[in-house]
Amino acid sequence: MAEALAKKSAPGRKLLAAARFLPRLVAGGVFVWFGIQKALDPVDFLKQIHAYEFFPEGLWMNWTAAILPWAEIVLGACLVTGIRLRPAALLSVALLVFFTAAVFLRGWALHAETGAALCAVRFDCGCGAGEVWLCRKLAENGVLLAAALLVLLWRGAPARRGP
Amino acid sequence: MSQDRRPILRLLRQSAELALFCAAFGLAANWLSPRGLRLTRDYFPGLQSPQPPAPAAEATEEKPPQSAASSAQAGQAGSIRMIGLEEARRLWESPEREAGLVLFLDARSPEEFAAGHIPGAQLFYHYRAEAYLDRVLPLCEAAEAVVVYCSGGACEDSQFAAAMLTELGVPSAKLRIFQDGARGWREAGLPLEAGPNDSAP
Repeated sequence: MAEALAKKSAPGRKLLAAARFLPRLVAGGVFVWFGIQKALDPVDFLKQIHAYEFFPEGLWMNWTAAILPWAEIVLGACLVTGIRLRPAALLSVALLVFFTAAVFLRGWALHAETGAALCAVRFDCGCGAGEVWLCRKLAENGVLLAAALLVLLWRGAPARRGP
Repeated sequence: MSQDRRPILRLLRQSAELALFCAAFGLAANWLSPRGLRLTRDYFPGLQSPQPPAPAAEATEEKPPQSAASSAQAGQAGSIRMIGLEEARRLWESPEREAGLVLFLDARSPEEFAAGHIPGAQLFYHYRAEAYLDRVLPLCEAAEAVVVYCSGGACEDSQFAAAMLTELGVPSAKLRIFQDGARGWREAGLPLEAGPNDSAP
């Protein structure tokens, strides 16, 4: 239907291009923003990774805290500019699935430890946004995941550039 | 079937290439960044189980800080004593602190330190230890008791900082971990001092 709309008229094509660009802008923009926040204070990010007690101790944490913020910036830039778009979308999906699972498990552990309602659990997830409410963070990640999946799975005309 | 698989394989190969590029870019950026991490450094050095705080009655007695030798006798070698609010307060009020024989070290971030720290405390953010060691190590050497604190509660930075100091040669018998931390100090109505780390102990 979208392709049919695009074939019909120039405004239809513009609308379709905008609809395809929006998820890239949302997912890419968030990746770049949170990546910058982490890259500005990698020590804080390292401390937050360490706070996920179910991860094993080791130097892998240093490597992750050093590389991941910049990787997020690169992936976000790829999503926004359209360079290596589908590989960037695939890697973004993989990262978001991992982040979401880790945040949920830590939130669940805090919920079990404190007896607080799941949605009343609040902690610094190390996501680059400071302290967050668990349910809200999971919902945000769900939106980002949907956006990245849309970019990955929406095949058709090349979407290298924005509208 | 093979035609269907090719785009997927291409996508996977391109994704692997992009992942490698991200890793290389991340390593280079971390190396160039003044805030970059040291990849081989243990930022969370382990401690032997700290000793519990002394009983309140003993802690509130008016007495000078224990010497390193007597502290060592009091507990296991290599372990660091935890102290509570009363003992921290006694050490802070003691005349020995004015003489540099009791040193308070704040293991929180520079921002938290600037927002409010125990008066006279020195900043020792062990994650950026190289920026502080030149100043802190001679002070530790001169002191008979070194009280390390962070935010209090579940905060572990005072333990990591103390563990690092012992690795650098500060006798563990000198060290105390003030477990109530800055929060406990503030909640007890004790004074805090705002400002960066430029005051002499």
